[in-house]
Amino acid sequence: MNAQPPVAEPLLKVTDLTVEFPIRSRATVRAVDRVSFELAAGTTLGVVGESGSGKSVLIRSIMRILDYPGRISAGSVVFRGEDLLAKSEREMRAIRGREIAMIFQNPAGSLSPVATITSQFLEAIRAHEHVSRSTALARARAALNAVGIEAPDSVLNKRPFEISSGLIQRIMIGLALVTGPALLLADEPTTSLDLIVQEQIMTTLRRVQSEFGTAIIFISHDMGVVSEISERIMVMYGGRTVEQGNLQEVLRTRRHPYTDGLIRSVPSSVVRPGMRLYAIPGQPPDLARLGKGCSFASRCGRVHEICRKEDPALSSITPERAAACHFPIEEKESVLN
Amino acid sequence: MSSTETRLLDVRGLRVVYPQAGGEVAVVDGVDFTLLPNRAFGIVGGSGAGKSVLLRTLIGLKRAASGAILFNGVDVTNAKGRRLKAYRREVQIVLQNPYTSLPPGRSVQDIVGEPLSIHGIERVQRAARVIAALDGVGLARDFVDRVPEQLSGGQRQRVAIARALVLQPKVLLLDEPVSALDVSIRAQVLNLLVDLRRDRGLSFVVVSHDLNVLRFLTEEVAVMYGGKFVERGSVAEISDNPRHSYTRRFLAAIPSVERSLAGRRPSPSRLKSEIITHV
Amino acid sequence: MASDLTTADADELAGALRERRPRKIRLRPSLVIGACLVLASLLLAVLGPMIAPDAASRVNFSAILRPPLIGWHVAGTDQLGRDVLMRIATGLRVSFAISLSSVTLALVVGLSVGLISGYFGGIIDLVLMRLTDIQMALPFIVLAVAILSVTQPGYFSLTVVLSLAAWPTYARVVRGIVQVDRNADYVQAALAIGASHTRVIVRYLLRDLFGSMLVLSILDVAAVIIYEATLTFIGMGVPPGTPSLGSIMAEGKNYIATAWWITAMAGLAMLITIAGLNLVAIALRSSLKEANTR
Repeated sequence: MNAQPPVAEPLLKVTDLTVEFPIRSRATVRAVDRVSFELAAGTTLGVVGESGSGKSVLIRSIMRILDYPGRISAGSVVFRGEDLLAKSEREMRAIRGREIAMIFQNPAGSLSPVATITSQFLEAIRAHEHVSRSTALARARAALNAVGIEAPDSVLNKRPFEISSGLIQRIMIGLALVTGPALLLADEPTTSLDLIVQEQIMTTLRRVQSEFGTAIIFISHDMGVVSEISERIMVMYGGRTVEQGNLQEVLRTRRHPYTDGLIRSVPSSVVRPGMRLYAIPGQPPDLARLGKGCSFASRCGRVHEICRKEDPALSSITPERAAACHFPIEEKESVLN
Repeated sequence: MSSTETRLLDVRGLRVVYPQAGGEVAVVDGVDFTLLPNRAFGIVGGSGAGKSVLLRTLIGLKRAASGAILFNGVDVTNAKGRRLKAYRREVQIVLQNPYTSLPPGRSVQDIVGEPLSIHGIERVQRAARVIAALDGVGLARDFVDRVPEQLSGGQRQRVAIARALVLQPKVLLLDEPVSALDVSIRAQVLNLLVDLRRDRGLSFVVVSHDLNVLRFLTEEVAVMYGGKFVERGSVAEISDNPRHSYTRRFLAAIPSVERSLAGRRPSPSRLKSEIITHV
Repeated sequence: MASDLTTADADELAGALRERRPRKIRLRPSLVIGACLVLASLLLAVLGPMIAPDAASRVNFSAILRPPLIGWHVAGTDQLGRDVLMRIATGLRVSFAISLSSVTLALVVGLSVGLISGYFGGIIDLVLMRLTDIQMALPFIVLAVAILSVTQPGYFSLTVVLSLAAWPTYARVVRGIVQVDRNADYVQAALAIGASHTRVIVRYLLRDLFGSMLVLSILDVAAVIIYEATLTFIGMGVPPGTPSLGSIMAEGKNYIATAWWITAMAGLAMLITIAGLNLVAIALRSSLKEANTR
């Protein structure tokens, strides 16, 4: 439970990260294409994207748990001043679970079905430190309290199959935090859960933010969920970053047509039967077939010739706001529904 | 105005049970509702509420333990044989996951044409009806030779919808029609469903955990919890005036961009350590 | 279930890399080698007796126990001067015929039992599975000897006995696959549009079973050839006088010290056939699994 005092240098700085996967016909696809962003200590970045956006591959690359045959082919991931990509597997093992922790979409999938929760905690703690069993147990209880489980002993002796999935996910968050990491990576942690359970998880995470000052990268396809917890947001499409900035600004004044389309196409509380939803035409990109030019060009209502020929770079609109578009939406055009 | 004869679907006291250690549990526990022609009825709730089981029971894939399902006045509860087959000609279902609901390796032609061949439509008519069905869901003629593995999620769901409509049923049951689809294409499919309903005078029963999807698709919804309908009304009514405590909790849990931007966050519900011993 | 949401976007990379081609069976080297071996064996079995119809039975006392590669006799002659290669060819015919028919019988029975058991479940399943268990519990050789010693010796009883050993495996495998497939969304969807159980079984389940059944049967043919040879070797197999791999080896064992080639060549022929069949089966299984997980 070490809160990081705010530092001038970002906790995490990713620069031009590129991840490639070989495909059958001896070509490669870029699942992540020159993605750059910074994360200040204690802040939360939401990453939004759908199929082919590269969001999952991105955070797995940060942790360097990428599935073979994926390969980080370019870029740097500087965490606390050191490039994680230059580290050996041994060094990474010391960092994973200790300084950077991760929670996944399917909570029980990361737990051994036959081991008690106690043993999972003991294993997690002792992988990094030599402490006595009682110390480790005390920490486990504290971690469970931190995630809102008021009677930790009632849970510690149980096995995963005896516990509901919402509770398991909270336990996973506790497990992730028990070593006091500075950064928590959350890959769609609420996606397969019931709405009410989802809300509990989000509340837990907000508590983590305020009480522990852990930095979080929160990935989801659901803009609404991401907006509940993030200070900054990064929208990805086809492996690339298309928009980045403070949450309020990005959601109120969307600059990139994709971000704009997404917000407008989700049914909101003002829809009625008989209305028509704004729909983005076409489908999410097939990474194997991305040609030159903007990855969103085939679906964009504002497309011009140049969009099909030249790949728009992520350019700053303000120091904190960037969009990758040749013709970003003007501030006055963007209307909040 | 709505005498029993004009009710398309009349469900009374429907109960569906699953065996459990030491007895049984009612996954659907005494559900009543009616569906009129050209109306859409929504069912919203969390997981495990029994929504999917309810739909599958309506289409005869699961057995009803008690209660009745009437279609146009005819009792089709746990129907078999010819009666069931005739019922299925009029009521069709679209399942949630387009990646598993289409048979692998079959051509779209086969898939969409299968209901026609099952119900004895002459071969000469089948090809034309398949093309018409595909056209109705916005898929071009040349899709007939493709197989599901070649199609995207949105395209697969359209094929599933085409299959459900090729017999020109009166009622379409939709189980989370867009939940498994990419966000950027959900609106396309939702618009499509609305168009189809209007053009063909269909009635829908839509299950979703997303209240706004139901707000768009339906006139009336029921909130399902623990196998029961705990509240009913239009989505607007339910959102503005929730009466049941579960409805209120549910509404408070809906994440939305609007709410986050307005800085309104609901007071966090007390985190309870619910331990459910179940398999 | 809401958890299905994950398939769409958790698999984002698969979405991009998904091959837009229908599945193909890959040709592996083991498949090719295995197929060649089996083909060689089959050719010998089929063509041999056609080319030299009585070489297998033509007795020639002036040329007994000739070693291989002397004169026309590629594999030598046996104690009656008969050409060993041609005898093996006839023996292979017999072995193939018996194994193919008993595997077919086992397949038909096992498939039916497994389908009905897996699809309908309930008490039918219980009863059928107990029957299967009982069958599997009886050791083959014991059962075979017991049955064959009381029934009329002959091809028919031999075939039936051999299929008794094999059918439970088919039943279990089929049942396992059917139980899972039956609840698959696309099967439920088919039922929901009005498909009858028969239609679902034939058009959906059988298609899915095809690959596994093919692999299992090939392995079975190999196993039955060995079983038949074993039974014949101990005198309980094909009627005496009929050449089969087992009987040739049995006869040859009396001359092992001096005319080793009789038994050895028969054994070699069997080895090639079995190895070929197994290679084909294993290669097919890997290729099918690969094609199915695309």
